[in-house]
Amino acid sequence: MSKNIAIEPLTRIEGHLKVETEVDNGKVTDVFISGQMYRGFEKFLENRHPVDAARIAQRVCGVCHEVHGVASVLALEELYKNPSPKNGNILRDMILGLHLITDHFLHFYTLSVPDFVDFTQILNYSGNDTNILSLKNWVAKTKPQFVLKRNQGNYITNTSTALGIVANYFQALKIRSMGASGIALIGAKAPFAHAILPGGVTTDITPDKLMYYHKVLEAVKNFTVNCYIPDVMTVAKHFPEYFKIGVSYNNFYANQTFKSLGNPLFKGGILLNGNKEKFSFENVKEYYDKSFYNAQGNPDPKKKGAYSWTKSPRYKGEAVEVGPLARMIVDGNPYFKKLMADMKAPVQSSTMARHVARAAECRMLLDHMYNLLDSYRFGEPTIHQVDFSRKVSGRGTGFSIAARGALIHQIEAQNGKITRYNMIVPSTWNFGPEGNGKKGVVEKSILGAPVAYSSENSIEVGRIIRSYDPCTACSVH
Amino acid sequence: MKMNRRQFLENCAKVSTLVFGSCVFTNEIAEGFTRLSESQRPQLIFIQSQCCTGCSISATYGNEEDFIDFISNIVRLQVHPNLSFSQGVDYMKSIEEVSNSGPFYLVCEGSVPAGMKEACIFNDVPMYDYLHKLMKKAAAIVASGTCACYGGIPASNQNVTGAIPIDTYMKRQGVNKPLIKIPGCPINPDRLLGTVAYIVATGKIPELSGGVPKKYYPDLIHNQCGRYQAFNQGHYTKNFEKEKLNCLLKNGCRGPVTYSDCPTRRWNGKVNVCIESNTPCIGCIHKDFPFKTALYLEEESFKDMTWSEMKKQLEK
Repeated sequence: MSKNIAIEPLTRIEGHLKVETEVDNGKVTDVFISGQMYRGFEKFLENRHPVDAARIAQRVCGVCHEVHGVASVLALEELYKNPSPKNGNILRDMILGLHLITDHFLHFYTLSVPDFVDFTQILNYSGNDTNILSLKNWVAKTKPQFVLKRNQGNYITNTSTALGIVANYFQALKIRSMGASGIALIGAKAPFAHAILPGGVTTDITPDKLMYYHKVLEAVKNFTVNCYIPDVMTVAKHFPEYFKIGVSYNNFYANQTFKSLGNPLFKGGILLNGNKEKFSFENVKEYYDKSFYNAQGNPDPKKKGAYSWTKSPRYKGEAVEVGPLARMIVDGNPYFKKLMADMKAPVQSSTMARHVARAAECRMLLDHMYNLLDSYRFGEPTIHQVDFSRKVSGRGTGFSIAARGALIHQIEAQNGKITRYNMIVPSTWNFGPEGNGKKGVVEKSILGAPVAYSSENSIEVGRIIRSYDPCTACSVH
Repeated sequence: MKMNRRQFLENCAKVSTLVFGSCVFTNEIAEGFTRLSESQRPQLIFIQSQCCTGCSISATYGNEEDFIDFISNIVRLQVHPNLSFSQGVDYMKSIEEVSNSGPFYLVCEGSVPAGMKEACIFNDVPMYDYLHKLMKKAAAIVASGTCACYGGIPASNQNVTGAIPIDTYMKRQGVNKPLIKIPGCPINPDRLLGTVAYIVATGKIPELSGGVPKKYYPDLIHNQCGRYQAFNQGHYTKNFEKEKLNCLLKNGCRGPVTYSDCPTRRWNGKVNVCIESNTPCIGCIHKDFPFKTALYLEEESFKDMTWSEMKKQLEK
C-alpha cells in the first residue's frame, strides 16, 4: 500500500522547497520536488543600465552572496571588453575562496548536522568546560524550540561524540562571522560586497588589510583542519549507508575556476555517462515542461502538469549534477580520493560523498588562498575602470563558481540598456523538475531511498536533499 | 544575585554595549533586563516570504552584536526556517505551539506577492493567505530588510509578481499590530538585533521616524561621511584606481538621500563600509531602492534623479 508523504516546508535550506514522495514498502517509489517561490529577477534587470546587474543580480541570493556578484561582473567585463588586472582577479578569488569555505561550514554545521547528531546530549554533560556548561544551561532553562523540536530518526547519541560536534556547531557561527569580516575588508561588506565592479575591485588594499585577511585565514584553517574535516569524517563513519543513498545519474559538470594565478585550481568539464568532455555552452538547453512557464518563458502559475518554479537545464539532454562533488570528480582530486578510500567508500554520487567532497575542497582552497595572498602585488592596479557612460551593445557570459556548483550569468545589451539577462544557477541544475522526459538530479537520487522512522515525515529524504545544499532563491530567481 | 544600584547600572551599560552596540540605548534599558529570567524571555519567530535569506545570514554574522549572545541572553529564538531542526509537518506544529503559547515577536523577511499569489507558497497555501493569521497572534511585527519594508528588488521594475511590502500587506489583510521597519539590503545586524533587544528590555517600541528606529537611521549618510571634506573641497573621484579618498558623489553615490548610521556603525565587526572601500553608496536602505535610474550614474543622467535638486544645490 503506497503512501504519500509531503515535506513542506523543507527547513534548513535556503528558500521555499516542497518534496512530495510516494512511499511503498518503506522505499520511495516516486518523487516531485517543487521550488515554491518566484520573483522574476531576470525581468527586473531588463531596460536597466548594464552595470546595475553587478549589484542587483548579486542580490538574487543572500547565502551565496558574493558568487553572483563575481559571475555578473565577469559577464559585464566581456560585454565592455574590459578585463580586470591580475590584482583584481586575485582579490576576487580571495573573496570567493573565503566565502566558499565558510559557506561549507554553514552547510555542514547549521544546516546538516541537526539531521545526524542528538543535540539533547548536552543535557547529560557533567564536565567543567564553561562554554558547554553555559550552552547546557541555555538549553535547559530557555528550552529553545528550534533545537528541541526535531524529526524522528537515528542520531549520534554517544555523549562525548555528540558534544564535540555540538560545540563546533556554535563555533562555526563565530568562525563564519570572522570569515565575513575578511570578505568585508576587501569587498566593503558581507553579504553583498559592493567593491566588486566590472574591471576589478575598488578597495584600496593596504598591507594591514592583507595581514588581517591572513589572520582570518589562519583561524579558518585551524577550524577546517581541527574541527570541520574530523567532524565530517565522524558523521560519515556513523552513517556509512549514506555512501549508497542519494545516488544521482553520476553525470557531473564543473566550471574552470580560481584561475587568477594562471592555472585553474578547479579543472572544468563534463562527465557524461562515464566519459569526460570539454564543456560547450551550445549543448545546454533549459526545459520547462513541468515548470510554471509558458512557451515564451513567461511565468504561468496555472500551467497544467507543472509543479515547480525551477526550470530544468539539461546538457545534451541529460541531467547533470553540480557542486563540490562534481568539482572533485571532474578534477580527479587525489585528496578527495584518499578520504573516500579511507572510508572504503565508492567515488560516486552519494549523500555522504557530497559532505566529504566539501571537506576536501576546503583543504584544497585553503592552500590556494595562501598562494593568492603571496601573489598580490602592491602598487599594481586593482581595477581598470569601465566607462559607465558608454552606450554599450553586445553580449557577455560569466562562468563562475558557487559553493553549490557551477554558475553562469549571461547579459545582452543594446545601446547601454540590458535587453536580456539569464542566470543558470547550480541549484537549477540539481533541483530542476522532470525535463526532457527525465527526472531531475535530486529527484533521481531520492528514488529508492528508505523511509523508516515516520509515516508523515522523512529524515532520510531531508538528509539527501540537504547534502546538495539547495538554494531555492537562486534556482528560481 | 543581589546587586547594589551602582553595580546594576554598570551592568546595564555593559548589556547595552553588548546588544545595541556603542551604548545606543543605555538609559532606557535600566529597568528592562532585571525582569528577564530565562523562561520569561519573549519568543521570536522568523518567517520568510519573497526573500533571499541575506538578512538572516547578515544577522548571524553580527557586527558589534553577536548572534549567539543574542539568542542565548536576550530572546528565546523558537522558530527560524534556516535554523529549526524540524521540517515539514513537525515544523508547522512547532509554529502552531509557539504562536499559541504566549506573546511572541514575528520577524518578517521579504515582500509578499499580492498579484501572483502562487509566487510564494508556504505549506501548500499562498503566503498571502497564510501570513496574516500568524501576524494576528503576534505581539509586534518587525519587517526585516528593504524587501519587507518597502518592496525592494522584488517590487522593482515590472514587479512581475505584484510584490508588496509588509505594511501594505497588513493594511490589506486588516492586521493592526505595532510594526517596526528595519530597512537595508541586507539589514545591518545591530539594527535588527538591537531593536528587538530594546523592545524586549523596555517593553516599548523605540522612537520611530517613518516606521524606522530613529537611533539607527539618524541622519543622511552624506552628512556623516568620512569623505565629507573631500566633498567640501570639490575633490571628486574620476577613476577608482587613481583616487582612493575622494568624494564619490559624481559616481552616483546615494549618500545624500539615504538616512542611515552606516559611516559610524560600519559592518562585519566594524571592519569596513562601502564608501571606505571606495565604492559609492547605492542607497540599499532607501525606500526607492533599487531606484528607477542607474545605480552608478553617468553625469548626464543626473537630471532624472530624485535627488537632482539637492545635487544642484550642493554644487552651487
